[in-house]
Formats: sequence, C-alpha cells, structure tokens
Amino acid sequence: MPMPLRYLQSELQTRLAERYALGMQTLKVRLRCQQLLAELPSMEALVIQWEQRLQPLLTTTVTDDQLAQLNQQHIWQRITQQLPDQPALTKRVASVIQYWQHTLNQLALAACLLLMLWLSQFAITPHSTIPVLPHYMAVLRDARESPSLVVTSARLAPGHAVVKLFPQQALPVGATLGLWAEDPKGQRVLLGHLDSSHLQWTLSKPQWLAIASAERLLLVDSTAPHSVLWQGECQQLRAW
Amino acid sequence: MERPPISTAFPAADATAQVEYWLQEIARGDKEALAALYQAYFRRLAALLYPLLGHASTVEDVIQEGFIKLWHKAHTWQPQRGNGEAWMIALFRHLALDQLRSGKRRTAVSLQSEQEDVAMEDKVVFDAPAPGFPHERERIWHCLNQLEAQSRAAILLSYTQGYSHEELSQHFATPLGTLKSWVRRGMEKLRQCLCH
Repeated sequence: MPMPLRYLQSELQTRLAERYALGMQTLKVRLRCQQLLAELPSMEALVIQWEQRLQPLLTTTVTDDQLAQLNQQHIWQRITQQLPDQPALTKRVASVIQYWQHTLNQLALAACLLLMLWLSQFAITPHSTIPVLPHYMAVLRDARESPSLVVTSARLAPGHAVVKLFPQQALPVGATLGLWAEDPKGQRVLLGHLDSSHLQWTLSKPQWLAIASAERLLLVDSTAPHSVLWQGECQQLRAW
Repeated sequence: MERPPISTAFPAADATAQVEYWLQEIARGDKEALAALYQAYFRRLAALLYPLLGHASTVEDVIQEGFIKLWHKAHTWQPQRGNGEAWMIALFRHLALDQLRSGKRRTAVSLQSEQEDVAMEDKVVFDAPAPGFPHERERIWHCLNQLEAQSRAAILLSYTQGYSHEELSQHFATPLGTLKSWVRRGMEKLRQCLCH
C-alpha cells in the first residue's frame, strides 16, 4: 500500500520523530513509524538527531544485585548459537587455541600459536577478513631457552593499540614485572607493568611505535631492573 | 552494609571510534569483534535496559536479541546515520521499547503510589552527572531545566524509563491531549535551546 501523502508534511514528521525517539507511542504506532523511517530519510534523520541529543540523559545506575542476576556467559552462548557457522578454517583454529588453553602446556601453546599465525598469514591475508591478527608478536624465553610467554600487539584503530601476554600461568605469583621494548641500538621503552591479573592493556602512541621499531621485547622484574627474566625477538606479522 | 550502586555512565567520546571500528568488522562477519563489543558493553546495556524492563530475564532476552540484530544490521550503520555508539544504544533501547509495548510489561518498576512517583522523579531528575559526554550532558540538563516541570518530568520519564503517553496520562491524572501538549511544548523548547 502506498504511503499516505500526509506523512510528507515536515510538521507531522517532526512530531512523529520526537515521539518515536522518546518512546512514548503504542506498539502499533511504533511499528508504523519504523516503516515510515525506512521510507523517509528526512524523518529518520530527525529521529537520529533526537537520539543523539537525548542519549546523554541515559546515565543511570544499577546495583550489584541486579547485575548478579544476569548470566553474561550464558547469554553469550545463546547469541553464538544463533549466529551463522564460522568458516571451517577459523573454527579449526579456534578449537586448536581452546584445546591448548585448557591443557596449560606452555611449550605447546607457544608453538601452536606460532604455527597458527604462520598458517593464518597464508590463509587469511588474501581475503583480509580477520583483521584481529596481531601486527607484532614475540615469544619470550627464559634463561633455559624454553618458550614461556607469548606477547602479541595489534593496532585496532588509529591511535588505539593493545598489547596482550599469555598464558597467565607462566607468570610467577605475586611478581610485578615490566614489559620493555628494546630497539637495535639497545634503547629501551617501558610498555607497562603487569602481574598475573593484568596481562592486557592499551598502548600509547610512543609505546606502539616502540614495539614497531623493537628488535626484542623484554620482561624484567620491576624490583630488580637489571634482571631480564624473559626475552624474545619481536616479529612483525603484517603491515599496519 | 549495602554496597553503593555501580556507575554505568556511557563511555567518553573516544570510545565511539572503537565502537565504530567494531561495527565495521561485525559487518564483515568478524565474530571476535562482536564478542569484544559484547564484553565491553554488556554492563552498560544492562544498566540502560533495567529501568525500562525491570526484570533480569527480559533484560537478558533483549540483550540476546539486540546482539543478534546487531550482527545482521551492522552493515546498515553509516557515519551519516550518527555516531556508531549512539546508533547501537538506540538499537537496544528501541528493542526494549518494542518489548515493553508488546505487553511484556515490567512489574519491578511501578507507578503505584504518589511517594514512589516523587522518589522516582527525584531519582531521574537529580541523577548525578557522570564522566563521558560531559559537555553534552551539561547542555541538555541546562535546557531541560528551562522547561516547565510537567514537560520536563514527562520527557524524562518517557525517555529514561519508557513510559507511554497513556501511562503518563494516568500517572499525572491529566487528559491524554494535555499530556501530549506538555511533551510537544517541551520538545519544541528543548530543540530551540539545544540549537541555540
């Protein structure tokens, strides 16, 4: 059925847009408005304008008790069940990651990750569909040269880069450690302090650039700044 | 001793760029971006939906439905349709409103007694400003405070608590037409003030 011409009147659009944005209408009127919004970009623009004006009012408070009633993990499971299946390769890689995380085998985890990242480069780069692949990675080894910790870093958006270390179990309990980037001239930049509960953080621009130009990453005991506990070559996995 | 409520102010403007990045990745089929968005916004969305829906189970349903809708609709977000965060919040809020209007009515929040009404209005009107959008928040509160009390209350109760024309008409014991006039006058003044 064609849309009645009266809806082209700007005054009526203004009124409906205000009421729709406020949320005062009955379901029937709301559904009608949703149809109109799909057909009338001018009315949709008015609604968007009101949404943006009013949203700062949505500051609200919620109690711990209320939040505790929600099962975040369970809801996420329900959501993922309704999403279309992942491509086979991604699924396989994800299950491999999950398996190694559960076994807590540090040696095998690092090796698996390396293999996965190496394979992902070939499998994913041509399609550019999974941009969460880290830009840099270092496998840090201790004095016995066994791979202990994996550090990955990615630039998620201009001005927003993150660094992440895992597995958590590799870290000595109670220790406060500093992660450093060291360039080919031996200049070091502190990327941040970490402990077993703080293994991921956002990097500042200088810190991100320090990773980009680093030859190796170092993990140093903060109480003994000269003792390097782990270190590893920093490798670029993809361009940014 | 009862613990204080958790502040769930929406994040500062720089979060918008992150949300927009996630929306673009979700539109390309990246489930990790959806997971990251879910992780980052779960509590805030729950805080937004609780006052509207009142029940944990309904809040859960709307969050679930909202993220599935987001997955399918992310490609329709464009910068000219407003900032990504506002777009996403509006998506969840309107889903909750549809749920409310379809009869799955909250019961935890009621309009039963005058005392409750006053307490609720006080809570809405005097809710302390929190970090994030400080300028915009100050501005809209400044403009709201220019309105007549009835218009301000009707707009706030409707926008933040999801009350319909009819409910507000009953609540204020005023004819529906009068209530609509309050809102219309209030919105007109608000628009003039915000555009000034």
